[in-house]
Amino acid sequence: MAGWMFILFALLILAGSLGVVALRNVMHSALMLGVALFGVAGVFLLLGADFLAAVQVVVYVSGVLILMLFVVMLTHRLYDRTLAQTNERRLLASVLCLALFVMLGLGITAENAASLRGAADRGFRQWAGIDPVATVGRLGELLLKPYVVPFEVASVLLLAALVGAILFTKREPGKS
Amino acid sequence: MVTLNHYLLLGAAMFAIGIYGVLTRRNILGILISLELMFNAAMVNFAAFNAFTPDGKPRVMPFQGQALPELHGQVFALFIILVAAAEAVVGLALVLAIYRNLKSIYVEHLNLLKW
Repeated sequence: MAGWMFILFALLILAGSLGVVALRNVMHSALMLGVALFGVAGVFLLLGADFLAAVQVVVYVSGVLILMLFVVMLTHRLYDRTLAQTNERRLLASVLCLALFVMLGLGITAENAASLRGAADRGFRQWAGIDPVATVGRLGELLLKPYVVPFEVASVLLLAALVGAILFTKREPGKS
Repeated sequence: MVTLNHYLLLGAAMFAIGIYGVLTRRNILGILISLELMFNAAMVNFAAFNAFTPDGKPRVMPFQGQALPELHGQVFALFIILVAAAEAVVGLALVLAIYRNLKSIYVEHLNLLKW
C-alpha cells in the first residue's frame, strides 16, 4: 500500500519538477510547481508528518504559489511567450545536474546499503493496527521548549521580510 | 518496500532538477520557482530522516496516548518552510522592483554591475 502511494507521489513530484524546468511559459512553470508541492505534501503524509503536510498545502500551495502567480502576471508581457526561456548553457547544465544526481545517489546507496539490507523488506510503517499519531502537540512543545530561540529569531526574520518587501516595492515619492 | 534510500533519492532528484532550472532559466521568476524546488528537496530529506532511526530502520510510530514521537526533523522542515516563505516574499518584491526599473526580468539584462 505504502509502496504504491510512494510511487504515485514520486511520479507526481518528478513530473511537476520536470515541468517546472522544461515548460516555456513561466505561468505553466508556476502551475507545475503547484503539482510538485502537492506531491511533496503527499510524501509528508507517507512519512507520518501530518502537520507538515497541512502546512505545506496552506503555506506553500496557497501562499507562496499564489504570490508567484501574482508576480508572473504583474511582470507578464505579451511577447514573452515567443522568447526562448533558457540560455545556451542547457547541455552543460544538464550534464552537471545528471552528474550531481549520480554522485548523490551513489553516496546515498553506499552509505546506507549495509544498514538497510536488514530493513529492506520491512515497510517504514505498519499501516494496519496502528493509529495515526497526531504530531501537532509534540511539534508545539518542541517549538516552544528547546527551539524557542530559533522560533523567536524566525519571527524577527518574518518581520524583516515584511519590511523588506514594503521597502523594495515602495515607489519613491519624487518619481511617478 | 519503501526505504530511506527511496526518499533520499527522490530528494536528490528534485534538488538536481532544481539546480538545472536555476542554471538554465533566463527569467528571474523561473529561477525563483526552481529555488522553491530545491527547498522542497531539503524538506523531504528532513522529514524522511525524521521517520527512520539512525540505522535506517523505520521508526515505529507510537500508539495514541503513549510516549510522544520524536519530531526534531519535522521542526527543521517547518523552519525551512518559514525561511522559504520569507525568501519568496523578498525575492518577488525585488523582481517587481527590477521590473519597474529595467522593464525586463531576464537575467542577461541585469548587467548594471558589469563593465
